[in-house]
Amino acid sequence: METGSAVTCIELISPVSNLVPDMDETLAIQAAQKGDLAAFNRLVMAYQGMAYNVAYRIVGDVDAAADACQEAFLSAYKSIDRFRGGSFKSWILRIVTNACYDQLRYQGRRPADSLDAAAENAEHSPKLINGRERPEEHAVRRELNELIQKAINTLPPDQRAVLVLSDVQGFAYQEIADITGISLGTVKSRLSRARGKLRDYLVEYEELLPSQYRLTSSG
Amino acid sequence: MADQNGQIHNEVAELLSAYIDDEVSADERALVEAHLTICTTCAQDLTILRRTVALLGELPQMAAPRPFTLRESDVRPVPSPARPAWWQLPWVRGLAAATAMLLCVVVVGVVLLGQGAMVGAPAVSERLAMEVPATTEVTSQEVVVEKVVEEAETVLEAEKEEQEAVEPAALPPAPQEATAESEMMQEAPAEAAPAEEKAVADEGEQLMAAESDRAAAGAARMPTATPAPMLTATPAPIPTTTPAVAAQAMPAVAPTPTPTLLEVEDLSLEVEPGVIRASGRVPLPEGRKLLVALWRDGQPLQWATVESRQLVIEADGQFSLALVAQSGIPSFNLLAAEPAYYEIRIRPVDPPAPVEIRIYFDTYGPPPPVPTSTP
Repeated sequence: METGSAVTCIELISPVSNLVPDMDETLAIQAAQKGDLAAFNRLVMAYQGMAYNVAYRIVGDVDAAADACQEAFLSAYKSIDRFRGGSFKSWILRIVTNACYDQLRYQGRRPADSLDAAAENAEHSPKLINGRERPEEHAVRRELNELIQKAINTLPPDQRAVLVLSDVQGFAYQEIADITGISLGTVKSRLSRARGKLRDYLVEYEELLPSQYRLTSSG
Repeated sequence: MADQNGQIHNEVAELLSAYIDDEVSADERALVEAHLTICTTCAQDLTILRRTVALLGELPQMAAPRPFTLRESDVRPVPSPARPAWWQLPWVRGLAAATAMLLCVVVVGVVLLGQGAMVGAPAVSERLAMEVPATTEVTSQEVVVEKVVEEAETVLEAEKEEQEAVEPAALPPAPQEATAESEMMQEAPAEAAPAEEKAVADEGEQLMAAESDRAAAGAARMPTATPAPMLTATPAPIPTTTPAVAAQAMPAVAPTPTPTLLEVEDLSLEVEPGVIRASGRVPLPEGRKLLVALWRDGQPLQWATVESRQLVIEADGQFSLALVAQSGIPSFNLLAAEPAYYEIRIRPVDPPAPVEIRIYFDTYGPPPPVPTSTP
């Protein structure tokens, strides 16, 4: 240290998210609308984690999800002057989901490059955030993750988006309707169909699930 | 009767998903619950559906493989190769039009002359060579200037002016020098004198310091690719002891920001497993108490204990702090954890003020070397 003064030593413990206010989103949006890239990048940093997780679950591929996010944020920057208030999160996720549809269309045109192949390739397996897991727990969760992702990949894109937003990201029906631009009734029916298909898939491949996660076992 | 039961069964099966989320009307709820008492299939389906939804909720959150922040060069309209900026110069367009007309005339002449074409062709080349050199010479130089200016605009405005002032003298060997210079400006912008505009312009650059692949892409767009000196993306004046960390004080001056971000002078940042040390000077009065927080990828990560999370400004705005992980929190081992962007956010709490200090760094590792092609 440069000075001889005492260094303030600070122990870090568990998160207490309410100690510091969130970034002033409104001001950042206003600044970004005036072309302030730094302000826009603060919004990117606030939402990129969520955006990436939504994209990854919808497109089922690490690289494609990253590409979708990059495209989405670029697109968002270019069109942010058209953002007229409301939920910025919903607005940005709508752009992300549309970018995911584009990615899926692009993947659909690519021959012999299946999502399953990427999921089965250990080098491509997604990196899990939780750093506190023991190796064996990590292995079980990875198995589970891969099987569920395969199941999600069998769904049509519009059902995937609704399912991911609802059951993976925990959005309410109305938020999903806002993000996807469909009616509440359509959210319900798409989610119902998506969950039903997923249930059928996981029951069919139940033996692949780690034992504690099997659906039809009692208890 | 059987048909009616079948209809109710189908209706209830369709409602089970919304029923789980309590997104059904009172009538629908009554219908579902009544049916569940008599239909074991639906009851079992409901149980499995609930487990399915619970499984989805257990899916882990993924770490983004890279940051998605944008750089100036990402959002700046790139001049089309067919219509670069110099094309807008009236005299260039006029000269080009004249050259095109001349070419047409010559081609027609060649066709009409038939055998004479073999004789006419060299003459055409010669005439064009007489007409065009000024155009082509200026063209290549203008392109270089344009490219360099495009890169430079992402840096300090003052630097850009200096660049433009210097550029004419550097024009004869322009491609090589311009390429190397622009890379230096892109890669080591912090070497210039601190200025507010620079901070704003550099934010994307610094945030993306580890993403030198884009810088490499920018370099590849240069007219000639000359082996350039290897430059680290880590801003030179910041004495970071960990090579994997690019650090910068965040004195961004947004148009109307609250809180105002303060610039840190003499910033020193060291990141080691389990500890982050930072020191520097900020324009705040001595004795002021500050609250320190660590953010990752734009989200609050971990906070100090309530008792010790405050930092007191010393003489001349000097501060020194160490964020130390409690033992048993592996996620704080930044160098072992997933790569991410981190911010140390510091703000006055006693007395409070609408200002904030942000120290940004990432753990994306050192940038790969800038690829160069052989001349």
